[in-house]
Amino acid sequence: MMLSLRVFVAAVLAVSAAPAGAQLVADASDPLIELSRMSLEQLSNVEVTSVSKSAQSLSSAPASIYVITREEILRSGALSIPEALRLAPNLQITRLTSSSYSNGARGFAGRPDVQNFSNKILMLIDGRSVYSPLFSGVEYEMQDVLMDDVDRIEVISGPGATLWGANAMNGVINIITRKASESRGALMQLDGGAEEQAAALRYGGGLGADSAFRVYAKWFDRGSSEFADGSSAENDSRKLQAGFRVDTSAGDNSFTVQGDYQTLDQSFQDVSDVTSTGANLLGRWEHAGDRVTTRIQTYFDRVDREHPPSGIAFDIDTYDLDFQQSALAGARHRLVWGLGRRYNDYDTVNNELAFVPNHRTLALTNLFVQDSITLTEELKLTAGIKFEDNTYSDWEVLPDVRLSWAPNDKTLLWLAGSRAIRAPTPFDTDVQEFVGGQLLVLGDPDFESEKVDAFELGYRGNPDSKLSVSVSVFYDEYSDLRTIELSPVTVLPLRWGNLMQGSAYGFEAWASAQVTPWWRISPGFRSLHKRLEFSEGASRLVSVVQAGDDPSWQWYLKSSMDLRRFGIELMWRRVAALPEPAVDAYSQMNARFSWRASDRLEVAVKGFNLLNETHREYADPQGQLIRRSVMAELRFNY
Amino acid sequence: MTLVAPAASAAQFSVDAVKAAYLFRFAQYVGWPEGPTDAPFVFAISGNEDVAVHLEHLLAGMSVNGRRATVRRVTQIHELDGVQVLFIGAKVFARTRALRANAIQRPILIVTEDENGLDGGAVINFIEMNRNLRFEISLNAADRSGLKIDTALLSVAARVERRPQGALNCLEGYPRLQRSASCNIRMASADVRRRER
Repeated sequence: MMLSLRVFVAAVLAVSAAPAGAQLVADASDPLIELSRMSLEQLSNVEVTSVSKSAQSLSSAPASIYVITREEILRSGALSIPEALRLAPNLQITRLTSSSYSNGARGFAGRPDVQNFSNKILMLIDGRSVYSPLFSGVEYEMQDVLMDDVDRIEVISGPGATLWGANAMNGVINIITRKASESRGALMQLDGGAEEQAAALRYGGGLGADSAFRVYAKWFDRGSSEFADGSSAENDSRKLQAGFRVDTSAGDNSFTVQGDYQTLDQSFQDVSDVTSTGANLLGRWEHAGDRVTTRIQTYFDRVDREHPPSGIAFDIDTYDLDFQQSALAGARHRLVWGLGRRYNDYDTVNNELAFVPNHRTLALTNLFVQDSITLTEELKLTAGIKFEDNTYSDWEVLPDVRLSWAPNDKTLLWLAGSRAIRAPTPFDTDVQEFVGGQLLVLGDPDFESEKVDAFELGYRGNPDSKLSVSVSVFYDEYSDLRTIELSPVTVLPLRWGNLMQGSAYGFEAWASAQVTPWWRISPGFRSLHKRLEFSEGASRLVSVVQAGDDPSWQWYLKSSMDLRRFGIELMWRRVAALPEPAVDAYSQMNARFSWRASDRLEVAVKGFNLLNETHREYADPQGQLIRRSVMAELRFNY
Repeated sequence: MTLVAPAASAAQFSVDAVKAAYLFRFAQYVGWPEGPTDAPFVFAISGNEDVAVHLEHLLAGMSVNGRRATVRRVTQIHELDGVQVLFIGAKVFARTRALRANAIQRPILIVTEDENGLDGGAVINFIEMNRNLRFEISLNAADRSGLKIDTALLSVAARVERRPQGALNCLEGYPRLQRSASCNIRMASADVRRRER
């Protein structure tokens, strides 16, 4: 399981011994090449940074958005998507076990001990939706990218349904990888430590004057978490993933084809391994005219999962077609409209957890239009509406109105009101859970969408050239939240209901200060207060905390130092206690010390969860003890 | 996809890199009143080294209107010979009155980044709007320098400045006059107005 130290040292020596005179290739991630290919209209829409390099500080999106940059991810040393997402101060990431995580934005991260899994966030990888259609949650162990290929991750807290799509009830995680033309040359990254070993390889190059490609492969072997008594949970996992991307441009047209394949193997004590495979293929065409940009995207995605310990298995085939167009209409209007349809065709092998019927084809259709109106040079109004139809519910109407005011180039104030939903899934409507032959939980065919009406107010600005600040406050009204109800007369089986409602408010704030040319400090904080109550007729079998066992606040502090060829990255977080089941507040720290030996070689030592030998983020038994992990890292580019 | 606009707008670039990319694009939408030539296409830059560096980088291996392209740093009037585009940085705008006064008498596309740019003789002036970099065009200045501005460029401009002038020399049936730059520009802007209606 461990990459032997000898292999690691041999690799370091081999790389250091590379011929000194070999030709250096210019950094292909050159933004100028991208700019030089843009049409006038695209140039006029490019966001420009003139003061700060921090990507989010100048973003004009009237939303609570944090952009995790590629540089931030690489500096953090994160090896998985959820660990990279910890860089976003507006997101709540909880590591349940070695490989499973839950996520939440503005709360509602779920409560797995009462079968409420986090299900209110939309996650996209290059425009491909990756939350599971069976229950609307992200299975993080199934999602991976080569970290070096990530261009940025946009994390939006609050509803984003109008433009981003289904399930964006409390947040959107939008992972965008770099174009193939930006990842030329070869990359090798090796990571090794007692808890985890990983390797990543990539090679990219040109295909004629107008095309570029890359291919990659990555592998990891990740150690177990621990049971409450300190014994190993024996849930170590191994993944192999490979993929490619080709980008072509011809005049105003650009084409992208990309795909990935992965196979994951997770131990389940000494019973039998849980195996998963995933494959996807995506094609995109974009035409950038002087006033109108058109985009058509389609993808196929297949997931297979077998869970022999429980006798359950499923496979899901997803087909998606999406059309989107944006147009400048006159001097003041920018219209974006689009429509899309997605099919999820799934089969399950049922056991104690069953979906009845065990085969369905879910269809999701959406149609949206949004207009951004420049009222004055300072004032911009964005109004959008989305109509969404899925297999279980009728057309839902999701409106979104945002007003932004930029009195100068250092200040943006914004105001928003929107409605978003989490639509019913097979887990809400078709599920049957048996315990010892007794039907315990039964889905409700009449289950309705969970709804939120969100009101937000935010400020983002650069009060000083060395300081960027973002603050937003929100007030959310929830209705038809999922509850656990009793069957009339017979009590069992338990059924899902929509008998909870209430509100939540809180704020999110983060800043980034360039204290000296070589030192940047970025603090972040968010708070959450929920006031939920049961509707008339609710069973009250489990308290309102069933909607989400969420911390009421979280601190975050990041420090980045550049001392010539040395880098020191520290990230500290403190998460408040969880109410029910109770988990103590905890603090943790990640660190990475790096040395750029040459333009091609970087060597680093990094550690995750350094403050304790083990720590707990969620209650036993769904949550396990997470071990400290220390690793050596080697990155080689040529 | 972002809230404000899809695709291309999401990435962030330095404002000077975007200015360099614009200068390169502008050249394809402007007609110069000169015959075929083997001379290089010259971008003259005064007072903004970052734009000059980005443009040099961008032009490497590129041609402009079928010609080899170069960047020339200029401060003096005599350095304007053979120049097609002159970019004047904000830092030196006020003290380049003599340079501008000379350049406007030649077929040179003068581009500035100053709020008084168009009044100061520029054909195109960069302006930052809502965190985007846009530009405004003076058709009178283009007219005076004998440059033909493509309608596509006018349609993307944030603002087009156009002082009323006699329409006579653009009337149909006067082929000799119709070939003049001023006529072409006016026809072009009429096209734009028609499209806007």
